[in-house]
Amino acid sequence: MGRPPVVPGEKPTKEKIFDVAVDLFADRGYDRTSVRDIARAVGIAESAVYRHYPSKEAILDAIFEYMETQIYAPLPPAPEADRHGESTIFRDMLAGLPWFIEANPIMIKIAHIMFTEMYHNDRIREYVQREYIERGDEMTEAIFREQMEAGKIRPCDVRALAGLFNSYRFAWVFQTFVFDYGKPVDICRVKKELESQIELFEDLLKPEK
Amino acid sequence: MESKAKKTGRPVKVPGEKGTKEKIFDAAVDLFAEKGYGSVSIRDISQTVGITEGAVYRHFSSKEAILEAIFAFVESRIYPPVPEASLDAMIDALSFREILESMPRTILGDQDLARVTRVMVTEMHHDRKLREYVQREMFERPVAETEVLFKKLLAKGKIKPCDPHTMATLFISYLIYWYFEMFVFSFGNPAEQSRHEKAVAAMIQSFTDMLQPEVVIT
Repeated sequence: MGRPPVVPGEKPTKEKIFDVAVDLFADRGYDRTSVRDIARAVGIAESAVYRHYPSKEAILDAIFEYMETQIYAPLPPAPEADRHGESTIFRDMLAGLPWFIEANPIMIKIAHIMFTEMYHNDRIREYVQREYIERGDEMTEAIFREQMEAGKIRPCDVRALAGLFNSYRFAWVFQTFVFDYGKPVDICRVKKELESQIELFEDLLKPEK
Repeated sequence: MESKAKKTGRPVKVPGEKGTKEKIFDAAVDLFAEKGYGSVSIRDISQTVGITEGAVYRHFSSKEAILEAIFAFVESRIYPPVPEASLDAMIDALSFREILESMPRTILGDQDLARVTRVMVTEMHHDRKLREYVQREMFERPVAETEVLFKKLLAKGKIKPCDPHTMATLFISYLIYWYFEMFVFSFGNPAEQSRHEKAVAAMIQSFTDMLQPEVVIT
């Protein structure tokens, strides 16, 4: 009793709960969604949800964990790399961004949740600040320092450069997952704009002769 | 309970004290920013100000009316486009770095506006019109105006050749990120805000270094 029959090819219950929760959090907001709402939308009893997730906060934890696997996973190789021969770090780090829109609809919803809930939800705000901004800055600074030491980019203040670079990514994510959320995506325009920024960074930071 | 002052609807004004309408507005802005528009009631606002709900309704017909007043406030305070002559004068008088620094300084100089725009940024995901307004006023217009600035700087040889639109997008992205650091992530944390205030100077320095015009050695 309480265990829906698993049809071959059908998602397991835990995954369904996760997906439905993401939908509801994105549509209604985290605070306004209860475990009962989630249970109802999945078509199971509330107690069945608790068997997989002890609380709504636990579902949020699962969302954070999922983000980790996606954001810090290596990006697929930028297709431009072949055309240009050797790719630059800026291209490697930016050209894969549209992939998030094209390949991963759940990430669009999750990013939307993060950027809209962070104002009122301390856990989400702290998570975004710590994992996305601070950690992103540390990682990017380390990457740029390595590049500079290898002579691939000209000498510069790598910390400031990392901040600048990440601010562009932040604004891009914000634009994409908040302002343009729900709108049909013009992938060509997105790629074109990213290409301009890549070229700008490449030009400004190219190694001195 | 109803004093003579309350009967006339006009609270006794202490010299220098804000009017009731202003107090209601300020309290609403703070509450909306902290808890979210949806979670705040007229009662919450009235309690914060220390007046009755009825007294609030005397100034604002509804919670929506307060939000409208917030938009009107932003409209009136948001910086108008710099007239061309002033822009030219500024370019001649100031260094590139000083010009760029004036932008965060403008934001910091008007903390009321910063607080109020925070309400708009936090509420805009519920409201498409508001979202479009913020996108236009906080992203698109600043980028367009900064692009004009960069074009002029390029024409005068004050920065090295670059695409002004792309440059403007990058710079405004940084200001937006900085705005979020200051007024969202570090909200209510003066020590953190102070840190970010300083960080913007370092970034602008780095930016200007990157865009130094090439020195032509003859």
